[in-house]
Amino acid sequence: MTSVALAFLALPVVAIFAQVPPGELVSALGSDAAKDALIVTAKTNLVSMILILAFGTPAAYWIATRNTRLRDVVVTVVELPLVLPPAVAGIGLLAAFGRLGLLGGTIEALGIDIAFTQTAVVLAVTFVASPFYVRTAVAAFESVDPALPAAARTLGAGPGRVFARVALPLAAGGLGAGAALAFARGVGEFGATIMFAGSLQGRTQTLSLAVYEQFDLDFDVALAISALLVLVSGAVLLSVKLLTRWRFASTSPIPFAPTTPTSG
Amino acid sequence: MSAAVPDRHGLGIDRPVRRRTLLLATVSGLVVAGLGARSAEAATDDELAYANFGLAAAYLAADYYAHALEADKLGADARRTLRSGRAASRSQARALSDLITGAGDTPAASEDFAFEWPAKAFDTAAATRATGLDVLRPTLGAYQSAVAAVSESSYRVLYASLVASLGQQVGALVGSVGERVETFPPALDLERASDALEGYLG
Amino acid sequence: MRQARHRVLALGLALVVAALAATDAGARSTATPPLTIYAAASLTEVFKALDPVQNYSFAGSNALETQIRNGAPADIFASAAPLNTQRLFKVGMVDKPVTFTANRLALIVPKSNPAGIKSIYDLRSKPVKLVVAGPAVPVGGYTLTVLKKMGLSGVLSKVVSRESDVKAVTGKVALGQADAGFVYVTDARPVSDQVTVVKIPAWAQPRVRYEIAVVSKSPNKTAAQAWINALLSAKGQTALKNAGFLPVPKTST
Repeated sequence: MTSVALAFLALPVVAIFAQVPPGELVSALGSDAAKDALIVTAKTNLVSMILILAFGTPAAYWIATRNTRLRDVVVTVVELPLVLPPAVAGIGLLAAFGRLGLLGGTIEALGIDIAFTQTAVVLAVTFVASPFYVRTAVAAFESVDPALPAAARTLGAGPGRVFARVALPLAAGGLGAGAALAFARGVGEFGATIMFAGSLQGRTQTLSLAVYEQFDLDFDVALAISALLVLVSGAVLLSVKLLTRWRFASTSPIPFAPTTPTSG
Repeated sequence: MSAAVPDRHGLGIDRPVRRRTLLLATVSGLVVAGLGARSAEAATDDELAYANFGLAAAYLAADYYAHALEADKLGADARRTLRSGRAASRSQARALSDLITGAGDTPAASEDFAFEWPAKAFDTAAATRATGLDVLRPTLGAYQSAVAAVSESSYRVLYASLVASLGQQVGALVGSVGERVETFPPALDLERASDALEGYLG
Repeated sequence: MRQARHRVLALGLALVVAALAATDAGARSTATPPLTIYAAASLTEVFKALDPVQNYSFAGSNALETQIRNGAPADIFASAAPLNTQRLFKVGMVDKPVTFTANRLALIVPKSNPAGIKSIYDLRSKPVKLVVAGPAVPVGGYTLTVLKKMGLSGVLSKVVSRESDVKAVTGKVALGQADAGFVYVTDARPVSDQVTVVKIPAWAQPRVRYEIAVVSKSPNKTAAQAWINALLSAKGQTALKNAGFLPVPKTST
């Protein structure tokens, strides 16, 4: 049974690399469409990750260190984009930030132009990817042995210092894993992006959107971009595995105890 | 221009003039056909736009003449003029088609259009004349603009010939009784010419 | 030991195949199975109104062509451009295509008309967020033809998004996200309360021809051909005409 499951999961991935010889893959990656898509994806996801980390980390810490009922509400709201189909996310973004949306008039009055810009891509990617980070970050902060920040406070550290010098470093492994997951989700985003930001090569066409367009135009380029995305996803998975191990090691409740990896 | 001869056929112009008109229309049609056969070198966007518009206008004019002949309200002598107008329009359509093909595009065919004529357009002589002027004058104005806008010199000559031919066709329809000659017939930009013919082009 | 493992593997595969067959059989329980019709997105409203019973898949004709080429289980393929059906015909994947209707293009703007577009020429002079379909999509190719015929190809620099089918273009204009978009006249009708049509002159219209063909590998060829005949009959042609499509001119190529 295992071999059937493995074969089913591995075959599409292997097939991507098997269909086109590596030389052609590399040259197809050099095509304008692929290069432009790579630049757009890199730019938008970088900005998106900065936003997610900057806003998501304090938010996750707040959630992890509270126990009020408000916390549950906040958690539900934060996790909502996780269960929304991407197309629904796209419609939601349009309804909120579109020209005829709730904030559309305000945005236009401020002179900001979002429609069909990279800003729109960043918004879409941030919206769908942030829950992945926040959820993992909350778990990471929660797994920090509460004795350690408490000890820091008794030694006179303020809450800010406790966060920055104690909680953050201890949760770093988990935060890194969460960031990797969010990054992978962001890079793979399609439905919300095409609905909210449209698709224009060199401006808003990300790698996922480029695969979709190249599917009819030049199948080899589509395969090459897919192969690239597979490699990126593989790297992300690997880093998540390694960081998770590190996380267990760094938040062991017993300091100085020999660390035994729990997963294999 | 020539000795006055009583105008018995209601077309509104003198007989010798009509003969000359017929001759000139035929000759200009041939000249236009010859010029259009030249291959298109570096046709710009604008030049092709005038050609595409002109092609439709030429098909429209040929259709006008066909309807006018069928309704036969302008008299027997007028029929020769109308027939020559129809022939000229068809030659002009061919010339413009060649220009467009030469530029690497696909020209429209007459079957691609469904022209729309108002209900009473050909009921009387006056109506027929008015309809014809309604169709030919904007086309003439567009060709005048084309002469100024187009850079390729062989096309400029072509459009100038089209201006001349259409000027004669307009003249053939304008009655000498009560109708004035235009001093400076206006050049129409493509947008205005297109709007003027919108009702007929369908 | 090995034999047992092989038996388990075979059982696993058999289960998977059985599951797939079951989902397929469910659809074939009735006497006349619904046909699977892959059709251009612009045919969505008229096909569904004409015959709601069949299974439809509406998308850009080029995307549908690729899917059929890769073995998609369609019985009929209706394309908004001869290119897509003819390409499949050349490699024997569809039977001989037949032209069944024509269409015209229009420029649509949102009812609020944020960019103040009153004529096509305004696209040249005013800042506008223009949305078109991708060049491989039939309506996208037709749009390029229109702009070229009018000498307005420069307007393409104002394109902010290239969509995968005509309904996506319509949607973005209807929602007010885009300032203008090129669609078929038939696409403007269902959203006539949300968009205004700016007419494209007849002399600039491209030759739009829709073709339909039976897919060669279809298991329901007779039913498919009957469906196509019904579309070509007076009933089908009237339905198309009422939706705003054009009859095929007599001497079309």
